[in-house]
Amino acid sequence: MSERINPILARVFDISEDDVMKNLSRDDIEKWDSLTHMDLVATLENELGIILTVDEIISMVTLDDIRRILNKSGVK
Amino acid sequence: MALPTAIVTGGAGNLGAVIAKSLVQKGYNVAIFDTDISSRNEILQEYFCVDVDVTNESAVNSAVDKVSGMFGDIHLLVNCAGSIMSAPLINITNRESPRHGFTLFKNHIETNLSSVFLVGSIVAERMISTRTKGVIVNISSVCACGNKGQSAYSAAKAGVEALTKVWGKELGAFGIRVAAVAPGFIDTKSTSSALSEQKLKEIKSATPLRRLGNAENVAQAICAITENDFITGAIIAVDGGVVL
Repeated sequence: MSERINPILARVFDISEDDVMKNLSRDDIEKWDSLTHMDLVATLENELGIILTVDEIISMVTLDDIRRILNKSGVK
Repeated sequence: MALPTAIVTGGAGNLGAVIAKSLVQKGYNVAIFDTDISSRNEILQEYFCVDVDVTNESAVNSAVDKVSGMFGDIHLLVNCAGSIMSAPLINITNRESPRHGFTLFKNHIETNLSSVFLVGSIVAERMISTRTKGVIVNISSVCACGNKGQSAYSAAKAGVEALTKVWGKELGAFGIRVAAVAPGFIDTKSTSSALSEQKLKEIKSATPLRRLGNAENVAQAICAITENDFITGAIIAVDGGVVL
């Protein structure tokens, strides 16, 4: 799963492949504002073929949250 | 398959009614948002009409709910509601009040710009929440580049064009496209009542295509935007070349 998700996270948040492995939060990632959050949702949905719920979108506040939610959505 | 749904604000007006008719011909369910339409039988019989002030947030929310309840997902919004007003910034012949009224300015910004923001933002939220790859078309004007004697109208339309570009950038990732149509001088009742015969003659001779446009020309541009899925953030001039 990480092989598919981590490159997307690195690209959307403009962070390195090393940083994407860490459990960084919205406070740690400079580019992670509300606009980038919307880009994140659209990119994940378009590239992974999933639909996220409002609760899932709101609860994505760390990189591990994102990985956990995507895992729960069945992203392999 | 269910028909796509369009909302046309100001759809009972001269231009809006032609746009609404074109969209019906293109296969849309059309809902009209306008004020004082209770006596407009010809409009009431043709369309799903909601009598709503498009500057009132709770009223617009409720109007959009009604459309969703009737037709389901919303695929197209045409922001056509507005009003034209001319007044110089300083009128030295008016001894009492030579300055352009501030209340007048604010009212026209509210009608021509705030309404676009309000209805556009509410419909965009619905499109995102239902993952509908819809289209928003805002009606601007050649006045957006600054028309003498039209501080409020020109500022509002410039604002509409800015919103179009911002929304094109923000909503593109969700497959929502946003564009504007900027008509020049269109042959409608409001144009002929606002401008003298002589002024209309001057306008025609200053227009490369030597005529006024018609409402169908504007409707055709809107349909072209809906059909071309690589257009977003664009301002399409329908003006006979008057701004060249």
